[in-house]
Amino acid sequence: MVTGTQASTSRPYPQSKPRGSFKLAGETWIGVIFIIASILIPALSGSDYWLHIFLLLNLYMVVSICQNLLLTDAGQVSFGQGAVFGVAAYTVGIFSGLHGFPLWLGLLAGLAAGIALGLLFALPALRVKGFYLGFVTIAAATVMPEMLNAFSDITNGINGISLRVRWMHESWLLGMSPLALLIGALTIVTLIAHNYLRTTALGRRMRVAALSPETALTLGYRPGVVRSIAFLVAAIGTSLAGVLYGPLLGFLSPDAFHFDLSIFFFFAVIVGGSGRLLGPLVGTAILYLVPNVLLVDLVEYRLLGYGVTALLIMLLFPDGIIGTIVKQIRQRKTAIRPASIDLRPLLEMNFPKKDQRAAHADEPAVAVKDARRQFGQVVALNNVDLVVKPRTIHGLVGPNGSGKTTLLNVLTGLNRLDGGSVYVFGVKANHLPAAGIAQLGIARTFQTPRIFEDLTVWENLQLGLDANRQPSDEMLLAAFGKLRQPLSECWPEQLSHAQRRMLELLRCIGTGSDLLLLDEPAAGLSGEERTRFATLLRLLRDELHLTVVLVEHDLSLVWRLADEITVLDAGAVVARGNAAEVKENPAVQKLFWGERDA
Amino acid sequence: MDEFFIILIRGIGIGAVYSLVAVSFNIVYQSSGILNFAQGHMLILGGVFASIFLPQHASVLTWFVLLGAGALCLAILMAIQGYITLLPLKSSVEQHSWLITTLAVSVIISALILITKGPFTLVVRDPFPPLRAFGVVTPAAYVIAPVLAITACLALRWFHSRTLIGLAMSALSQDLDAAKAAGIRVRRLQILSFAISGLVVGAAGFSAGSILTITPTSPINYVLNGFVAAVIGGIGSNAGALVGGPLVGVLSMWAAYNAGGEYQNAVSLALLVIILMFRPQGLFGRVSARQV
Amino acid sequence: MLEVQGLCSGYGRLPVLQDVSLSVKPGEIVLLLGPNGVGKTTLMKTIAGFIKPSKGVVRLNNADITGHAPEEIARNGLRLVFEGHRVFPELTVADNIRLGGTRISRAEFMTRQERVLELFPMLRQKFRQPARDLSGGQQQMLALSQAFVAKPSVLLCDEPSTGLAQAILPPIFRLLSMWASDGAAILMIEQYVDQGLALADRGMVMERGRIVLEGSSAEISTNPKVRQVYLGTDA
Repeated sequence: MVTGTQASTSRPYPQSKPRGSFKLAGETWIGVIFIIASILIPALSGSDYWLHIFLLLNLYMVVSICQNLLLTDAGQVSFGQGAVFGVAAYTVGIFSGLHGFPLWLGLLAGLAAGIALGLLFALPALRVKGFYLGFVTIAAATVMPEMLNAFSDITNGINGISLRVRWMHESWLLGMSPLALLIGALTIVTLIAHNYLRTTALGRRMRVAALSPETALTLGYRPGVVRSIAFLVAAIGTSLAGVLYGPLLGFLSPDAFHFDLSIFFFFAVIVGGSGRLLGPLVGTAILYLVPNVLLVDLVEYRLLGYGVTALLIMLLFPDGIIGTIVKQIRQRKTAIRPASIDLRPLLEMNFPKKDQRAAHADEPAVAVKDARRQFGQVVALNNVDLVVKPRTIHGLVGPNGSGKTTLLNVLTGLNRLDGGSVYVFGVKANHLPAAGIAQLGIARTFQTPRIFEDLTVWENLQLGLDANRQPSDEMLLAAFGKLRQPLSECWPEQLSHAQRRMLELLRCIGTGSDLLLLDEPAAGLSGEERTRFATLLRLLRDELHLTVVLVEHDLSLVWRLADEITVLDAGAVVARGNAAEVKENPAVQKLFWGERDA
Repeated sequence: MDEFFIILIRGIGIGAVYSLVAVSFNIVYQSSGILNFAQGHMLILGGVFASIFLPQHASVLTWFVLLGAGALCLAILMAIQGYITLLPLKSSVEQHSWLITTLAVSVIISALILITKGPFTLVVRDPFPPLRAFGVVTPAAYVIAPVLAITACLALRWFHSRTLIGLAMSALSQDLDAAKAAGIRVRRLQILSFAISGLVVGAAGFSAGSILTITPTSPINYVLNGFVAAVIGGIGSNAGALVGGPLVGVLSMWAAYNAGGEYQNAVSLALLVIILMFRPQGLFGRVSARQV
Repeated sequence: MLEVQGLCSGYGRLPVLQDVSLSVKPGEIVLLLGPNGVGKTTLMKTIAGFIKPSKGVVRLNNADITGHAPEEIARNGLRLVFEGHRVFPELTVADNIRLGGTRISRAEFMTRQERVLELFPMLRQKFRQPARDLSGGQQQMLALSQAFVAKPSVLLCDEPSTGLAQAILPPIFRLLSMWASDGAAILMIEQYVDQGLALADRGMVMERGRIVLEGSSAEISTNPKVRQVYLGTDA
């Protein structure tokens, strides 16, 4: 077991909880064994030819793992890894091969060049999504070998560069050379690093940014930043493999870095099973070994074999090989047990006196004036005024489509007003970026809960804790700590719709925000669950001094809980006041029951 | 001055080929959200068809008949490709499969051309005499391509607004679920759109065969330039494609004349980056390419 | 005629609908009631083929359509009109309606189109304009018109008033009334309960994925428990 510290958040967990420990996933162990075998066996057999093939395979596997990181963890369709690989390799060749600089200098230069190019690919990723990035990177991958030829005075063009590093190929250990040991170590480290990254807050944030940039913003961080970090990490790994390519082959030529190479890494990831840790290893092995080993005598048919293999595997196993295997294993398990989240640790918290939050003592948590928002012909918000006093529960009710969710979107910066003003904790929020608004201390839930199926229930909850900027929420952390064990074994598919809403709510509480915006959190809850939910909300208001804006359709819940209520219809405010006033208002009754004019 | 007209006329001519590739992209993209990486290969196959079946001194009539036959063959081939590409999308969560299947098809086509015809450049001779205008001699293909591009756009516009099938296909890109609820047979129409795309790109490859580079490895250049043309015009907009194509064509031809052939793709890449940085939706586009 | 027996379905592996059975006869209008998130839209989507049920049977005019593709179910005479006034925004009003009438004769299509345009004259006014230029209410009428000209034997109408003022309902309800008189079986969801019950013949109340109360509209509208759910008053 490898132990390691949790996360990159600035707050340590309280001492009473056990330190987080990092366990290698089953797939990683299998991968490590495979890597060791792939180098040891050819080395022991004494065949230089086979050792060479498998060492090259290992270099390619490193790049495929980085490609997998970019594609699945960060959600970026980038074909640029071949170009990064080639630039790193060629820079080593130019420095050490053509100009005779010492090898270590060449390696460093190669690393720097590769990383620079990899980061360059991050720039379009910040502006455009999906396949656009794919085409930009394919274009770059096509242009790179052409540029290698065009600038032949620097790169020696089609003549290539020779790079002999004799000592790296001598036999050191069990028939393995220093180069073989280095490459094997690199592959193993890359695999483990990928595994480790997924257990960190950064890794979680990457996946969230890829799957739901909106959620990332409401948790207070910018998807673009974590995306750039993903490109950086992938560039580092790919460049490390690239700089070893020259010493391995002894020779560099522009042909070796045709854009086909970039497509190869992409194929390898998806054929193996994108998202699986072992996927890139399996995919690379199959797509490299089948044409180059099985078809080694039929040179003309190598390309055809490679294309047909990729196509067939995609048609037969759309989830990739490892993905399909894992899916089969999961489906054989007996029917999933529904799970639910126990609220008691939170309800049983002991609260000391809280002074910090008195900072926002009297100014309204939310002040909206004359808000106007139109989508084409549809008027979503029609001169809406809303004032939410701090440390209250404010109910926001109205028929479907009356503008409640639009209002929440405006408050969190996911939508902008056409006219009017929005103030959150006294700060004008009309033009603040959404991540910035979240950092003021707001968290929200969505009508369709943003729960991530590939993370455990605990990890989903951790997303909130990762975003917690309050320095001293010891008691809250202790309460969440009690939930860690049971929820680490639980997956979102075991949660009912109502439980997913609870999970999202708990995530919001975990962020330590002072203002919670809840969009229909009680939908689907049983009577008993509703009572517990109401108790939780009162506790948050009275003990943690939070402010809650509650959008709800369950009017009896709203009448019970809310200190003040605003009623919307067709984007306009039609009533406001406390529960007693609003409940008896005949216009409100007509609105919800829909009585015909007599 | 001669050079200016050569660059302009030939740039527009080859640009029209890029426009046709862009239009064929749009057709498939609008009905299924798929960007067919194999489009360049389909274009080249149109040229391969011409090199195999078009006799040395064909009559104009023969040319037209073979044009129709070639376009039809590509339509059938792309319908098959469409079926294969759409198949996995039904049954799995993995929504990246089309990237792989379209790329795999492109690899297979390259491999087949390599195996059957070797790595050599294939030559197509069309029966039309070269034209003389503005003091320069221009091979007819440079004029046929723009005519074909405009015809294709007009035909598609008529198809989408006047025929029921065309309307239904256009509905797919606007609201897929509402289309299903209206009883529109989505899968069939998607395959049909692949076929129509094949008609366009096959006709383009055949008629412009004499000015295309037909080798197993050249298709990537055409799919790239076609994509850049589509992005400049705005993905989904055929009118935009008509503008984007010649723009790319003229600029890359200018680069080839002044800096060398290796820089053509570099210019296209630069154009792509510029337009994505400053106007990602393209000149006429509505769909936003912007990232959050 | 629509029959549903023992239907279980949901998103992912936990069911949202639990053992739902109901039937709607030709000429009947049945109102589906219940708070948000209870499964009403899920039920409609499952019947129409957008969600595959894990258990149960759906029969349309005695033919089993369980789990069929939504396009096929629509072509066999069951139309689902989504909530949120979903039309094809770039196509004209005329073309939107035209896309509904692919399975009937031209003469029938013209007759039905004429009837619906009489009920919704502003659609006739904007006949050649793209649908995105219409207001939300007009778009909702357009969506219903497209379904109407298709002459379905069963209509599923999901909350036509979402995002629109209550005043949108009377002309829409006139259409639904006429539709039912023609012989269609109509299942609808509507949040303005009193108006919905005035139109419907029967009502069914759902709670947490099941139907918990059934009865004629009169019975349902005077049931104090139902008022409690919608108004939050203590019974």
